[in-house]
Amino acid sequence: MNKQRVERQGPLVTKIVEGEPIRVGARELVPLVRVTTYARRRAHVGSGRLSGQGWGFVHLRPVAIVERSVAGKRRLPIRDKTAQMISGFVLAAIIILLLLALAARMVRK
Amino acid sequence: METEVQKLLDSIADLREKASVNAAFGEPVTIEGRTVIPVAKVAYGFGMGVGHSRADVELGVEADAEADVEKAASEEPVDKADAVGGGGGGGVQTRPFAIVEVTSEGTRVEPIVDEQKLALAGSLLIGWSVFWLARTLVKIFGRQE
Repeated sequence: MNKQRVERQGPLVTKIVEGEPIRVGARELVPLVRVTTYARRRAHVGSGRLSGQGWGFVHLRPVAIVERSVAGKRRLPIRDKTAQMISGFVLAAIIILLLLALAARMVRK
Repeated sequence: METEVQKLLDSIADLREKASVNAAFGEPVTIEGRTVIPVAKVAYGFGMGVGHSRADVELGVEADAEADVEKAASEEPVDKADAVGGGGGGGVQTRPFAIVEVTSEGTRVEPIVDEQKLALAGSLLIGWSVFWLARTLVKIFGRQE
């Protein structure tokens, strides 16, 4: 059974799960993945009628890899560089907007 | 039918429990003393439904003449057909996320950058900047005139 740490409960559940260790030579690599799941189920019962439905999604996002070797234990984070760069673009867009609004206001004065 | 509905509801709960970490980390590949483990972001969605309704459907004979009406009246009781339906769908998306490289010197994580997304985001940023700059210049120079 993989180790789990549950962060949220309810129909939306987020937890960080340790995967099966991967052995490479003298090293053991343990993957850590954030698993987000959402599932809903419903059943309707009426006179002469019965129905059931369900829907949901599962999202797996690698978080880090833990390296265990003779030298010790080391946690290597796995970062989403694309998301970081896009966040930088969004921040730049907001800063540009604020600077231009400030410039327009200063010229008005 | 109740059993089928219960099985459907249980299978949806199982899908959550069976989400496997191994789907995000691929099989290691070793080439010339270097081991590479592909890492991906995985997302999948699903939906299913099933329904059952008891419908009173008469499968009788149409009577055009009186004789036929008498004949139809003497027929055996009609069959009642139930209505049953069901459907389902789902989708999976996998995006390369990073590469874990293991060599004799050590282990490192190499993130994978989605250049297409960056190019699109960069174009949007340029368009956004040009739009607001033009608007500001029109406000400034328009006011001065």
